[in-house]
Order: sequence, then structure tokens, then C-alpha cells
Amino acid sequence: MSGHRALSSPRADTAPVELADLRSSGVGWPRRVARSVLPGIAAFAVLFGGWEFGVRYTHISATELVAPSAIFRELWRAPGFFASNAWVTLQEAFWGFLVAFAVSIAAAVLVVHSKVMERALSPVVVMFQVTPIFALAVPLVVWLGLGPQPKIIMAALVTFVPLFTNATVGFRAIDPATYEVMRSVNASRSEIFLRLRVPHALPYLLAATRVCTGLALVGAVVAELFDSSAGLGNVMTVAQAHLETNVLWAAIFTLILLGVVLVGVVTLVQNRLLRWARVGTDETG
Amino acid sequence: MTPRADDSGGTRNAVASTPPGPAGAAVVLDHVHKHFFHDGRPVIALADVSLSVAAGEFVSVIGPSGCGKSTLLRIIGGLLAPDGGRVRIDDSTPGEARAAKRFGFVPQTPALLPWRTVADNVTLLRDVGRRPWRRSARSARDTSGNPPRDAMALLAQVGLAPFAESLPRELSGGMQQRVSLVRAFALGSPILLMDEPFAALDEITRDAMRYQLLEVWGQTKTTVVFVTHSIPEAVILSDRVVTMAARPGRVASLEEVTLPRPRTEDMEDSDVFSAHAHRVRTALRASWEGRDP
Repeated sequence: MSGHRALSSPRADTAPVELADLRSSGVGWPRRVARSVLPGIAAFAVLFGGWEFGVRYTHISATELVAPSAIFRELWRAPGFFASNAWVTLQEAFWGFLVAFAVSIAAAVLVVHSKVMERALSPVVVMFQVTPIFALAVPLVVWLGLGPQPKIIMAALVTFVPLFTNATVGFRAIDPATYEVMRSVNASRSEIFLRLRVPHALPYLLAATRVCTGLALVGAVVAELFDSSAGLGNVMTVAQAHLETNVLWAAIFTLILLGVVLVGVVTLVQNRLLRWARVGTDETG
Repeated sequence: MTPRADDSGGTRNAVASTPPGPAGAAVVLDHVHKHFFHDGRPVIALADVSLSVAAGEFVSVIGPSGCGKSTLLRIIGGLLAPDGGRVRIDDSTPGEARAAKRFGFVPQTPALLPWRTVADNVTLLRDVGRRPWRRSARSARDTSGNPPRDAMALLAQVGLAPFAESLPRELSGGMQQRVSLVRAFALGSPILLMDEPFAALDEITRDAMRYQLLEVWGQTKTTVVFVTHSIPEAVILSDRVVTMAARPGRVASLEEVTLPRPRTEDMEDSDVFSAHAHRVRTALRASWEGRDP
């Protein structure tokens, strides 16, 4: 990309640029991908292999702990069932995350720009931080009843604090000298916000988003456990009532898969948007 | 792409391609006083500082740490308000001059935006004040995506044209600081305020940067106020060297540099240069010894 134009220029005589060139040109991309993915696959193989072995060759009963092979067989038997329930959970988690994102950005903007707001909101955030949020599932369901609302609120509650904290830190992560340069040409608060604070907060917000994808899913599922007609949490509750351990574990695996895919998507977005922030110069092109 | 964006891009380039060379503005400080509070006690940063800089003059301000030279620079630039006295930039206050983008500020660190390419960093300050959500304000590039010609010319002058499309992190510290200089010049403002711009660089890079700065400055009629810790730097760059003393911050002496322009490396070995450097050093020492132990 932009860097490579500089690399091919005759004046590219500085160390950082040249090192990057050497490092990325040495290995082809299939090998690089294999190198980055294979250790993970190996770790999973060992994990599931050990699990399978443990269940088959020890005296644990199948109702206590299900072998991975049985879980995958269950998933294979009714993929549509798990997918449609995952879709319900995903929607709740997504809307919950979105609500938390909007509220936390608004709160962070206030806190960054006003000392009074900072003093007012900090204790409230600490309150959220120390509240055992999952314990709120039952009152939320009692209060908001059936439907997606309690799940969305739950997903929003568990993701609010990490999002808010990272937004605040990110908005403040500006370089004082750059701030002064902007002030020297009379940049307004809103302009400094849009041109400096937002881009600086982006790495923080994306890192928080990565953490929060998992949290939002768990939040939605926990609320579903108590009362719902659909969703992976509902599948778990029903399976537990019928002692269908296979189904219970299959729902958990679906949730894991969903989380892994989502984190992967966020990582792709991170790589795309944050080229400028990457510490090493390991870009692929 | 809307025709509107096309139009504004075209107009800006027409304006931008006119040769740089704004007439410098004169700076007058009249009995300026400034204090800060440190642990609840007032600390005098500047005590009764009077100084005038002529339009197009290159003035260096040198002094020990804590003599208020950075404070002085910020008061001139309208970033800090004085507690007493008067500051005029031609016929306006520093605040008005700042609002009219009449200052180009170069801090000690490059202070580049890491997500903008070198070319887009250079044009950043021109975009400030335009509505950022407009496409034309986000990028000063023309419709075919080329950076403005005058920005490229300035980059070429400091040897950075091949890096116009690089990101700051791909550049060395010295190169980044050159981008920061070019950014200030590209603004086309009549006054440049430089706060130890070369202090973080190694001696060799620093040495070369002085003459690059002089070369770019030589084509403009910009007024420069240059804060530094280095005596040779102050002498070789300036028309006048202001020596400041600390506690309280005040002007200790003024040294008129008689070396002809354009300045060259050879001059650093001349007797005239040595005599100036010696007098500045003596003034600095006197201000140092005059302090309470």
C-alpha cells in the first residue's frame, strides 16, 4: 500500500522502512497464514482429544460429561435448530451492545469535556462496575417480562463499563503537542473531538468491542435462561429440564462458535482500520 | 464525487499554487507579566517583559529551563493570556491573530496525526475551521487524489517528496520533524512560533535541519520566534538573539547578529560567529550567576 510506494523509491534509506521490507518479503502468504493458524488448531486438537479420551476411557457417565464427538453429532443432527436459536441470541446481544455503545460514548464525551460531569458520573460508573450484573437477570425478567427487552438490557449492562472506560481513556489519549498545534490555529472543541479524539479512541473502542462481543452474548444468554421462548439460553434451560446433556453442550458449543466468529470479524475490522496504529510493520500489502 | 467537491478542490488548488510568501507581521510585547500557581503559591513566570519583533525578523529566545521562554511563546501565540501588559500582533490581539490562523506553531515533538499520510498531515492545519464532515475539508487533495502542489513543493525542498504517501511511523524522527516544519510553512501564516523544534534530535540531524529551515524560511517573509537551548543554533539562525534569565523570567540581554544572509555552514567557523556566541554565552552565564543560590 502506501508504505510500499515509499519502499520502492530511491530515497528510502532509513532503517525502519527497510527492515519492514525485509521482514515481509521473506515468506509467502500461505506459509505465513499456516504459521499463524496451525498452533491454534493444534491446541484445540489436544484439548478436544484429551476430553474425548477422558470420557471414553474413564468412568465418567455420558450424562455427566458428554464427549466432543457426541456434541458434534448433536450439532450435525439439527443444525437449523441451533442456528435459528443462535440468531435470536445474536440479535439480542447485538442490540444490547449497540445501546451500551451509544450510551457509553455519550457519557464519555460528557466526562472528557466537563469536570462536573466527570465527578457526577464516576460514582455511577463505579456502581455499575461493582454490581453483580448477572444477578439482575431475574428482576429484569420480572420487570420487563417476556420478549427480547430484558436480554437486550442485560447485554447492554454487562458491556457498558468496559466500553465507557475505554472510550474515556481513548478520548483522552491525545498527544498534548498535537492538541496545542490544533489550538494554535483556533480549532474548536468539536473539531478537536472529531479530528483528534475520535481517531485516537478508535484502537481503544475496537479493543473494548472485542472483549464485549463475548460479554454481550453471555449477557443475553443469562437473561434467556430465566425466561424466554427462543435463544440459546432457552435451549439450555429446556435441555437441562429434560436431562438432554447432549443438547445442552451443543448449545454451549454453538455459543462458542458464534463468539469466535464475531471476535474474528472485529479483528478483521481492527486490522483494516488501524493500520496506522500497528506497532510492528508487518502489513501484508 | 459531487460536482461541488470538484469545484471547491479546483478553487483551493488555484489559490494554493500561488507562491508562498506572506508578509511577516510585527510582534510587540509591552510590560507583559504572567504568573502560575504552584501548590497554591504564585510563581512568577514572566516579570515585566517588553520585546518587539519586526515583520520578517528571525528572533531566537534562549535561556535556562524555567525562564519562561515557552510561556512567552504561548502568550504571543494566544494560547495563554498574560496577567498584565499588552501583546499586539500588528494591529490585532493574539487571540484575533490566532482565530485568523496567523500563527504556525512548531512544537518540540513532531505532533503528526499517525493515521494521516505525510501529505495529509502537511495540509491538516489548512483544513481546520472547515466543517470536518465535508469531503472537501477532510482532504485537501484534488479530484485525482494528488496532494496540493505547494505542499508537495515544500516537501520536495526538505527531501521528503518520495514520502508524501507514507505514514508518519514509517519515517525517522528527523524526517517527522521536517514534516512538522513543512506543515507550519504550508499554512502560509505570517508568524512562525517554534518551541525548541530540534531539541529532540541528534546533533548531526539537528545541524542539517538548521540550514533546511533557513532555506525554506528564506523564500518567505515570515516572522519567526524560535525558542532554543542551543547557542550556536540561536546565532546561526537569527537576526537577533534574546537571552532570558529565570526566577523571575525576564529579558536579560539582546544580541544583534551581524552575519550576512544567506547563512552557510562556513560561517560557524568565522570569528564573527564566535564573537556572537561568546557574548550570548556570557549573558547566559551572568543571568545564571545572578540567581539566588
